Amino acid sequence: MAPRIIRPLPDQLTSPFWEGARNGKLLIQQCRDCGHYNHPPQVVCGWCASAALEPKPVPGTGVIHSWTTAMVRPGSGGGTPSHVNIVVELGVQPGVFVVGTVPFPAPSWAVIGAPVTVSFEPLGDTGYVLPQFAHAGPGEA
Amino acid sequence: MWEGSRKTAIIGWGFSDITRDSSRPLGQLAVDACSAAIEHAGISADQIDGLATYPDQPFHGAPSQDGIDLIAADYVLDHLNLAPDISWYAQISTGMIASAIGEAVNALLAGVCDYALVWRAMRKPEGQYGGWQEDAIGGDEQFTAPWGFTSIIQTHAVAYQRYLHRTGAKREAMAALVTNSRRNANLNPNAIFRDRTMTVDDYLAAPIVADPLCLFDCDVPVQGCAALVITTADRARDSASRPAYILSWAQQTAHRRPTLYPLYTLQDHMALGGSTAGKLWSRAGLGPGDVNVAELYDGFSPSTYYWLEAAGFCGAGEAHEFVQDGRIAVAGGQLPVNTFGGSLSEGRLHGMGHVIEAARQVTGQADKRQVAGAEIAVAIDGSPMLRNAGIVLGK
Repeated sequence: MAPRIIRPLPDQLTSPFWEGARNGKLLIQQCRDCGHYNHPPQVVCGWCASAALEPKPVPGTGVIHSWTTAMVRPGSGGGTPSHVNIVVELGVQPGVFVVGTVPFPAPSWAVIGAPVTVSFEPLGDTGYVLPQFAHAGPGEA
Repeated sequence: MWEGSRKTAIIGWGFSDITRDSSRPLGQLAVDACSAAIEHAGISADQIDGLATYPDQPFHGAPSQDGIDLIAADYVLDHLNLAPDISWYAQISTGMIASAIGEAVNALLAGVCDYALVWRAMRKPEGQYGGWQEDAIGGDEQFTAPWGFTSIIQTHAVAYQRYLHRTGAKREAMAALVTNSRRNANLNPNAIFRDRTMTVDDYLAAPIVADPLCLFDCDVPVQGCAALVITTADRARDSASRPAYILSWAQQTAHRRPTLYPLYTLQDHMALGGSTAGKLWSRAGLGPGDVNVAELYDGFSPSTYYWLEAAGFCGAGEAHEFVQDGRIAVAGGQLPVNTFGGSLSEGRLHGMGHVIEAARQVTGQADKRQVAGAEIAVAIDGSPMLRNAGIVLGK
């Protein structure tokens, strides 16, 4: 079963992320004063309280921090998950996490610690584009 | 040691019927639980002059009609014959129920009320619990839900997956903790699963809900209410009840850097859980080695692992070994854990079950589950990486 499509509701803070994705860029908010990244985007920097924050294109490389399967309804006696979710820690800064979707069962490369790189996929016919992640290692697609 | 230690006490508690459906309105159940707690405390309703609760429901998109979907302070104020014009109330939105208890303790210490009633009412809506209805989402969840990451169970699953990776633990090890809780629930007449046993094989055969969490790693959603009465130590000593003295209470107050909150990564469970536990121990003037019984939150079973580590009952990464070999059993365990069955097997009272069981244990009222010689008990609710709070009780 395909996951139900849930589209984002961008606001002033988050629309640069979604606009960036539409243009094939991963934009993560960075503080001009202390250089830290904040994700999700903040009104003031969570590290130094500066308001000098800007969306910044980042390389889109990281490692798989963790993963799980899509939830199968509790009490339903099991079933097949529609997909696997991976949690990616971006290389720009420890603790900057984004999620991705890979098929179920997970491809063999999708393990904790695996290097991944961003790609961009349309979210159904919503007009939104999701940053997704694929294996970045040598010799494997 | 905190100057407020041992100056207040829990003197009574009570439960409503606790069911897996919503056949009885939450407002009726709240009145039942509050009335039972007042009766158990040996006082009359018109002596209650303070109120505190944490009314929110822990699922996405929860409705909020007072008396139907949740029980706020106003509802109890308007539906019980309390003191004619009560002198204090608080309704918290962070920190779980032990934070509301802490507010009541502080109000008693400040002398603004004499008897405080604290309750936690949980709604079990019809249909899929926490099911998403929206096709669009804002806020932090716009960075998770569009990827098909929509469930609180998934958020706990990724933290637990990381735990297994980091420690080398096998998910099979959790059977010891979950079946221990079920054995305890089988001795608890109040537990949803009082009549249903669970073997290690039953646990291992349970369907995976969000890998690596299986069905039996998730607590059981219920409709019901639990309540307790707190007063000052001098009033408690004069009362007809057996007081459970409050040695300390504490909240998680550590600074967290911005992160994707719909993800509960394991990243900081020791630091964030340690924020609560460290204050519990220092305010009470004791440490984990002094504790006889531990009621550690288990909305999802791995949270109990994290608390065992963050509160110092075992080392970081060792909880999956600590829970083996009867170490957490009521009978002869080094540290009996979740002696009432926990939220996993008693039902999701969101930490109130844990607090009340701690009070029962230190006052010798835990019946067949009584831990011999229990003088100090701790109850902690919430998960270390999230909002949480705890309480230490003594004989």
